[in-house]
Amino acid sequence: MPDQFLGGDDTFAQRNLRFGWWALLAFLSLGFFLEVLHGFKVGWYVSVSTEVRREMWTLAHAHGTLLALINIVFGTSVPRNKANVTSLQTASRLLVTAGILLPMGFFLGGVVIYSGDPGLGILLVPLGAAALVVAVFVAARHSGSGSSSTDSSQGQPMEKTERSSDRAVRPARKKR
Amino acid sequence: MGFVSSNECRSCHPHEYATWHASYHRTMTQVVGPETVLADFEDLELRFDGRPYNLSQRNGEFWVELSDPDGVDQVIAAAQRGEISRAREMASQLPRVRRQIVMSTGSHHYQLYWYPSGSGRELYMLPFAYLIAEKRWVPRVSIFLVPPNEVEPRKVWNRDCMPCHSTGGAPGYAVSQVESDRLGAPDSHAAEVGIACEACHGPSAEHIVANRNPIRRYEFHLSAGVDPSAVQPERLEAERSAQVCGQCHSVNTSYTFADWAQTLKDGSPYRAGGDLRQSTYVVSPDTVSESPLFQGWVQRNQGTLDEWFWPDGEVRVAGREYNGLLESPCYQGGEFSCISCHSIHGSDPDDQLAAEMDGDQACLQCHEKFQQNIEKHTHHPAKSSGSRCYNCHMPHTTYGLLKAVRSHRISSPSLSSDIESGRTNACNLCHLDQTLAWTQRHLSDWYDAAEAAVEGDQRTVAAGVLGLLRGDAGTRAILAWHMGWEPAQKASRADWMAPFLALMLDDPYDAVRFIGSRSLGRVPGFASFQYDYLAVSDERRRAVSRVMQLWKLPSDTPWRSEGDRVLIRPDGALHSDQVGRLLESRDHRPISLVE
Repeated sequence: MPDQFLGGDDTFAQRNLRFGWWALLAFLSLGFFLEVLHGFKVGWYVSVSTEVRREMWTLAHAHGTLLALINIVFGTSVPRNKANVTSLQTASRLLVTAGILLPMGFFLGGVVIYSGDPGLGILLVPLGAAALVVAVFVAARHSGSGSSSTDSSQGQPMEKTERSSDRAVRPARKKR
Repeated sequence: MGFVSSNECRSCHPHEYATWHASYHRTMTQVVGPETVLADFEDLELRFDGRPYNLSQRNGEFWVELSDPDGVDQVIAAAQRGEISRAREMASQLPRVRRQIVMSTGSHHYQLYWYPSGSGRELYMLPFAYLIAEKRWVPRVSIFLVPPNEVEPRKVWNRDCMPCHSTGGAPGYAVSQVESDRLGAPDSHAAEVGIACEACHGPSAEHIVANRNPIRRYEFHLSAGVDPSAVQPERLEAERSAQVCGQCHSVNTSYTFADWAQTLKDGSPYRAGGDLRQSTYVVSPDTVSESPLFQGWVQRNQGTLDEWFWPDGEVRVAGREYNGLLESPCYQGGEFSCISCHSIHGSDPDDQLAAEMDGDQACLQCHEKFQQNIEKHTHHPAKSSGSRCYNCHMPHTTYGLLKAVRSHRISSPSLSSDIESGRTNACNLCHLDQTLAWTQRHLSDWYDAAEAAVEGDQRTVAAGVLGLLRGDAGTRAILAWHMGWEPAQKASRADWMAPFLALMLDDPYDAVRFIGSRSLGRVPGFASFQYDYLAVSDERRRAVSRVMQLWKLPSDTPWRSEGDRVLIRPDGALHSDQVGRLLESRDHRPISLVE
């Protein structure tokens, strides 16, 4: 029986997984490309005068890889709980958005540079950062509110009742 | 708002910072440490004026043990008053003191070192220089062209060097003490040691604060707008742009004594982008009356101008290129300045020439008409050194750093002016073996040059030989250098030069001997000739004899048939009587060239 929240290819969790793995491939490849630039001492990358480009592309590589991993973790650990579907869908979309905007901003910021300043592509970075912060906040808020998708690896949908994470937690607190 | 130092510039201008960092301007003054000291300090004893200086190095610190420098001053003062026995007694009782070497000057040709005087923040110079290429300590006086045995006044960094060898330097001498001629203990401060960003771009605190605003920065990035908070010499008018370099690369002083005293307190009032003439008198023999301070100095010290200028007013010492530039027709055209050819950023640190400016392109960028058929203009093969613009229009007629340096009075050769000034002309600095009459003939035939007064030996004896035998010490230094210069050796053949360079090995001037021996080493057959320019006179004379014995004119040389003008007889020997006659008429006038 397909999981109510993870049952189809189009569910948000799978979207994060798909995005995460492809992004990981892309940004690991970027890392390989940057190493080649270092290896051949390509002037427009390693010279002191292009220090900003080197910094921006290094940041693009690091952020892209990290956000790919975050998307994968999200996709595999997302709490499956009906009541939180909307919030978690939002978090999912924001994580993908951040996974695009943050590394892309750094990368484009390094394409055209102005001496010590990056190009205008850098403006994507604060947007991506905001998306990431909100996504993490939403995910954090609902963390532990239900079983994670990894639990579904047992082949059993874990929670199908109306019980929300709040309901599960609050009475316990009151009892104390 | 004031100076901030280059560290603040680095993050926004990494390329400019890196290229400046690689320049010798940065390392002109450095705080001493294992990374900056080029000389050997390993338990060494050096002697100067009979006094020992013991150098040592411990745990990354550099020390000198010497006779108390203030006591030495008193000994010298007593000797100058004629109290010789008292001076001797004082000298024998001088205590030995240890001083830490704290700062260095230079990193290109030689390095000088400074120690605290014990008076405020004042620094005295160690009386030795370390020659970097030769890896050798020598007395400091021996690297400058000064009369033999001249007693040089003590060098004080704060007073003598700080304005140009630091950025935003304020020597901190009290004005009242300057006026009373007792300088006292200065409270000196500088924004940065060495010649850093703000020396040429002006104090940048305001620029830094303004550009913390990213919107402002991107406005300038995305438009052709000019940030008014920083001085960019490239964007200044040629005159103001050249003044940025001219603030240091000129013979200059203050207008009045009061201005000078104020400068010794607060440092130079000039800031990049301003009008140098408002604050600084750039010396020219024709305008001395503009500066009462300098005029008084010249009246009290006859020959002062000769320390910097040829008789026709052309500057003759290196490092003062702005004086030459001011007299250049190129500059007077209004669009040419130092940065037409030079750049501190992205250039060879040696001469700071901008990309492609080390050849004819420097001149052809304006004088395009010569591009197509340079031979028609030069009358020399296009690829030869005789067709290089620099060699005729910027010959090596200034002296500094133990070599001849290109004149920055960019002009066309004028034989009459050169003869009147006692300066060897551009043609004969390559054609050392040709007479002035030969030169006049060619200048007249090729360029309709006016007739010059070529007389006596000038008609029959090669100009290079004449200058070397009869010229003053400055002329001898320049000609001795040219005898080791590859284009001159090619144009003149080098096989006749050894005996004339040999005569330089016993010249009274240390600098002439140094240059003579270096050039001799470039003459075929003398590359491994052993000689010490600081050896005692007897030893030097023996070196001269050895050269004369070693030198033998090749059998296939044209000098056996046409050697008269370089004073070589048909049998290949030197015309000793002629050489002696010319040596007797040498210009022995004491000469100091103040670099």
